[in-house]
Amino acid sequence: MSKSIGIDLGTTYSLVATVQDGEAQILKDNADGRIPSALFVAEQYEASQGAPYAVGRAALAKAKIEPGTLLLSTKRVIGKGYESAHRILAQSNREGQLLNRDSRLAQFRISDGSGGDDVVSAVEVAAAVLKHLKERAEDHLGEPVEHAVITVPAYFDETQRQATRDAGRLAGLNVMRLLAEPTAAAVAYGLDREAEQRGKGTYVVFDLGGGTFDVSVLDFDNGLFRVKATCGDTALGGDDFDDAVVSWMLAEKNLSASELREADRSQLILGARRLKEELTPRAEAEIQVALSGKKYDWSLTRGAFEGLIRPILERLAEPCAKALSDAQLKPSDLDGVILVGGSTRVPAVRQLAKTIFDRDPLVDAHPDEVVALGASLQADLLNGGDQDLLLLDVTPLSLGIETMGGVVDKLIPRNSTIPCKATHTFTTYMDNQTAMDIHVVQGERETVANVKSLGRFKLTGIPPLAAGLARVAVEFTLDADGLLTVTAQEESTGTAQSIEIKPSYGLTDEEVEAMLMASIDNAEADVEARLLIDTKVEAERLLSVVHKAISEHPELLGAEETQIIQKAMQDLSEAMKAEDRSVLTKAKEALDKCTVDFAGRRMDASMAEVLKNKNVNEVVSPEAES
Amino acid sequence: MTQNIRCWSCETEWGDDPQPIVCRSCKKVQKIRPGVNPYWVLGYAETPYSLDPEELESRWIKRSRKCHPDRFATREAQERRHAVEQMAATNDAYKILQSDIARGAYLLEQKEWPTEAFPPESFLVEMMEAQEEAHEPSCDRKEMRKRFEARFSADREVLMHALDSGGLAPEEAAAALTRLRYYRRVLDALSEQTPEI
Repeated sequence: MSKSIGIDLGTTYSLVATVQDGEAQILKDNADGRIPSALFVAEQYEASQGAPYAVGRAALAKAKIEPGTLLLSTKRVIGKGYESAHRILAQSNREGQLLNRDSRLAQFRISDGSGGDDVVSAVEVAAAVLKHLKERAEDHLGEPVEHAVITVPAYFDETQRQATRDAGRLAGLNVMRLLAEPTAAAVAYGLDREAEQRGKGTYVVFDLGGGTFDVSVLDFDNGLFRVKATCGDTALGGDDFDDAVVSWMLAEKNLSASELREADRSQLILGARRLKEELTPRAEAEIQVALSGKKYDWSLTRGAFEGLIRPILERLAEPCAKALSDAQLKPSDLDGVILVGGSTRVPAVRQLAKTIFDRDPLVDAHPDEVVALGASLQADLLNGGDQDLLLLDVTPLSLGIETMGGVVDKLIPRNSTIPCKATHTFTTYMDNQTAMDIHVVQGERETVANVKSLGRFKLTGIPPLAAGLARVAVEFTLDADGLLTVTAQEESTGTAQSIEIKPSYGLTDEEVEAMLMASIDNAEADVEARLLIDTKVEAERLLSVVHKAISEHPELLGAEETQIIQKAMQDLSEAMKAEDRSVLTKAKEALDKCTVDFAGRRMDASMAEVLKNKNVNEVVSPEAES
Repeated sequence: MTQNIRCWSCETEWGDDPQPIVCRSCKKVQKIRPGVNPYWVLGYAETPYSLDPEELESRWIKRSRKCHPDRFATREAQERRHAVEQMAATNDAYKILQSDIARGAYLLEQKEWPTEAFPPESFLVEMMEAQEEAHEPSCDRKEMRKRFEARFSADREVLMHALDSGGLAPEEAAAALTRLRYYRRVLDALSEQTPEI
C-alpha cells in the first residue's frame, strides 16, 4: 500500500505529516511547516500561465500585488448554509464576500473584474488547500499519495464533518478517517510521553485554533486513548482576536470597514494578526499597513490588547466547565492540561487555562504541530502500522429526532463513544398510510428551532396496513468519523424493506427523496391514492396538534382568533371526508396559516415553563410515534 | 438457542461463538445478529444481573481493541461496514450492562416478565415531593443524595435476588425496577442542581 499522510486542516494554517521509520514528522518546504489556509483567484489571467488560483503563501503574496479575490479562514463556514455563514462573516465585515445562490451551501463571490461573478464554496476552498498539501507530500516522498487522515475540530457537527470529507474526495484523497483535533494532539503528545514512561492518566486538551475552540477530557493508558467528554465552540478562535484588533485599528484612524475595498480589509486582517503575534514575546508592538496606497501606523501594548480580547476570553470558561462535569471530574482529578493550537501562545490565554484548571499547563509540545503529527500516527495505524494503538472518541453533540410540537427526542446522547447506534420504532396512525417524515437534528437544546437540522427525509414504501400495524424500525448509526447513516426496516410484513440514506448539508429534500424513491419499489402503489392518504395523515396530525394546543392554552387566544381557527378546523374536517386532495391541501394550508401566531405564543409559553421547572421530562412527555 | 449462522463470505458456520467478530475460517468481519444479547457481545457465558464493573469495563476495552473499525481500515467495504456495526453493538452492550436499570430491564424482558409496575400513590406523592425538594435552594443535597443512594442500592439488591437466585415473583421484580427509575430521576435532579465548580 502507498504511503499515508495526516493533515491538520486549520482555519488559518494547515500542515501535513507522515510516519517514516516509525517516527511522525511534519513535511516542510522551509523552516516553517505551516501553510496559510488561503485561496487567491486573480481577476484576469492568461490560460497559458496555468492555474488561475494560488494557495498558501503564494495566495497571500499574489493578493498584495494583483487584483483578485483572497479567501481566508473559510473553515469558519464550511458545512453551513448561507444564513449562518452570513452571520459568522459579518463579525469580521466579510459578509460581502458571500453570494446567495444556494441557501443550503455558503458560497463566496469570485469577481472576474469585468462585472461577472463566479462562486466557490468553502468545501472547494478546503479541497484546493488539501490538494496543495497532497502535492507537497508527494514531492517529499517521491511517490503518489492517496490515503489520508484529516483532522476536524472535536465540536464539529455532522454536516461540517461531511463537508470536510467531501473536500478530501474532491482533492483526490481517500479519507480513511476524520479525527478530532484534540484527540490527534493527545495521541502525538501521549505517545511521546509514553516513551518516557510517564504516559498514563487523565488529561485535558485545551485546543484554541484560528477559528475553533475544543476542550477534550481523555484517559490514556497503554496505547488506549479514550475520550470521556468533549465540548467547545466552532466559532471561537484567534480570528476573533484579529477582528477585535481590526475594529480597534479602524477606530484609531477614524476609518469605517464599509468604506474600505475588500483587498484593504484583507491586508488589515493580516496586519492585525502580525500585531497579535508580536505581542506574545513583546510588551508592545508596531505595525504599518498600506490601505489603497496610503500608509498607516499603529502601536499597541499587550495590556491594551488583553483589554480588547477580554470578552472573547470570557467565552472559553464555560465549555471547560461543561467538559469536566460531563466527565464527572474536578480539576484536581487531572494529571495534566495540554495546550494546543497557535492561539494558546497568547499569554492571556495561557493564564486563563491555568486559572480554570488550577495548574500550570504543559507547554513542552509544539502547539502548532501536534495535531498533524497525531493524524499521521493514526493514518499509519489505519494503514496497518502500530496495532497496539486504539482511539475511542465520542460524538460531541446529541442526536435526536423531531416529535410533535417541535420538541426534540434525543436518541444518542452527547459524549457517547462512537461508532454507536440507536433504534426508534415508528408506527403508522392512519389506515393504509404508506409514508412518514423523519427530521433528524443535532444539538443540546430541547426544541427544533434551537438545534442544527441534519436532514428531513421521508420514509416511503410502507406496506398499506391498518393504523398501528405497520412498524418501521429506524436505525441511526454514527460511524467512527461521526457521520450519520439512517436505515429503516418495516417489521410487520416479513418482507422487510431496507432504506438507506445519507442526509447531509449539500442535499436538498428533493434529492434525498429522489434517492429514497429510487430505492423502493412503488410500482404497485397507486400514486394518487397514496398522496391523498399522506395528505390526510398530515391533516389529521395538524388537527390533533391544534386541538391539543387550544385545550391546553386557551388563555393565549383572543375570542375572534378562536372563532377563525375553529372555522378553519371545521373546514378541514369537512375536506377530509371528500376524496379531493387539492381541496384538502387548501383547507390544511388555511388552518396552518391562521395558527402561525398562536403556535409562536405557545412555543414561548412552553419554553418559559421548561425553564421554570428545569426538569424537562416532567413537562414534555416524549411522544414516540410520528 | 443459537441458530446456525454462516459466514456471509465463505459460508462456514459460526460455531460455538454466538457473536464472533471475524469468521473462524476466512477471518472476514462478521455481521451483528439482530437483537443480539449484550452479554454475548462482551463474551459472558451466563447472564447474571450482578456484574463486577471493573471486569465489565475491561471486557469492553478488550472487545473494542479487536473489533474497532480502525483494525479493518484496509479491508473491503462490506467488512468495514460490519466493523462499524460490531463496534456500535459493543458500545451498546456496554451501555446496557453498565446501567443497573437498563440491565435489569433487559433481563426482565428476556424472561418475558413485566418491566414496569404502577407504584402505589403514596410512593408517587413521595417522589414528587422529593423532586421538589431537590430543586429547593435550601435542600441539603449531600444528605439527600446519601439517602437516595441507599434506597437505590437496596432495591438493586431486591432485583439481584429476583434475577440471580430466583427468589421473587415477577411483579416484585418489576416494582423494584420501577422504583429504581424514580430514584435515578431524583439523583439526576440532585446532580443537576449541584453548583458548577
